[in-house]
Amino acid sequence: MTLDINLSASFFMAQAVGRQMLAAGYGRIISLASQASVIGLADHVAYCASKAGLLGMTRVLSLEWARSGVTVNCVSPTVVETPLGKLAWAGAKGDAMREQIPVGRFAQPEEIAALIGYLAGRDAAMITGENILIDGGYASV
Amino acid sequence: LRSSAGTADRKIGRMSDEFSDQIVIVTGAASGIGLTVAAYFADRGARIVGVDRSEDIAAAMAALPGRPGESGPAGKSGPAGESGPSGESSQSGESSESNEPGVIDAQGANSGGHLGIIADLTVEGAADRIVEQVVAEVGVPTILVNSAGVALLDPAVDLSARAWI
Repeated sequence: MTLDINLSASFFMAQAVGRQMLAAGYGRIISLASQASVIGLADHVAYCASKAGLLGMTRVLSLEWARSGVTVNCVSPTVVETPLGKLAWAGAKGDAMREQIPVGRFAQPEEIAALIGYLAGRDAAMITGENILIDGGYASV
Repeated sequence: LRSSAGTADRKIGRMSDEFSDQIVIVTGAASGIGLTVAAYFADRGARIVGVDRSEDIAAAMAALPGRPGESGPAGKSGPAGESGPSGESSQSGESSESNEPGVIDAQGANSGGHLGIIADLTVEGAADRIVEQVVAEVGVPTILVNSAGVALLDPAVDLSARAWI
């Protein structure tokens, strides 16, 4: 289920949308990866594999579609404080995780949306094939 | 980066027309990051197509800021994929809901021109059917945000094949 949803569904959506975007000569595709795309997290073996897979997919799509005005990128948050995120990282587990993030807190959904909004804009035409970490420095230390 | 829109700001109305000529498909848009992303683009004038396994997608799209003076896409229903898992979730996720998944047009609720599609993205051909419908009813999408996802946690030695695949 993890690879089906996190990786395969993202590819098939990108493929179907990409056909339209290529014909139109413009498009922006952004996939939610995760800090788990670049580091290992205990108990997250399928999740980490699926998110790392998104990076490979993104590189190839960006290469094949760049000349047609279509950019393809990933954003990789740390824990995001959605209702589900708060539930999954409540208590001591969350405190320990938060302590390891240099900025000392989890990300807000609005911060992720703003990054995606930037990548989706016309100003971001030169950014493609990238994975942008939005993790408060977690994966860098 | 631009500053983000807070919930309070969003209730005031649209923030800009930055994406007013854009059609944005967001998967996993009924909740969590996907919903916030949908609201971000709607706040800036985009027409949103939200895709989710959850029936909540209709209400979620209806609650987004609309595009004044524009009617939404023609309301109709049609198959886009079976109802099933697609949202970020730690559930094991086999849906017991209807096997007649369809498409819900949220236009009637807010005239915002946004569309909610209930779909299981793991069904073969679902993505093609979704995009075909979007092109026919809304237009050619210019932005795709893949936000649907699951996190099923287990030590590697215990993870089931079903959870992996």
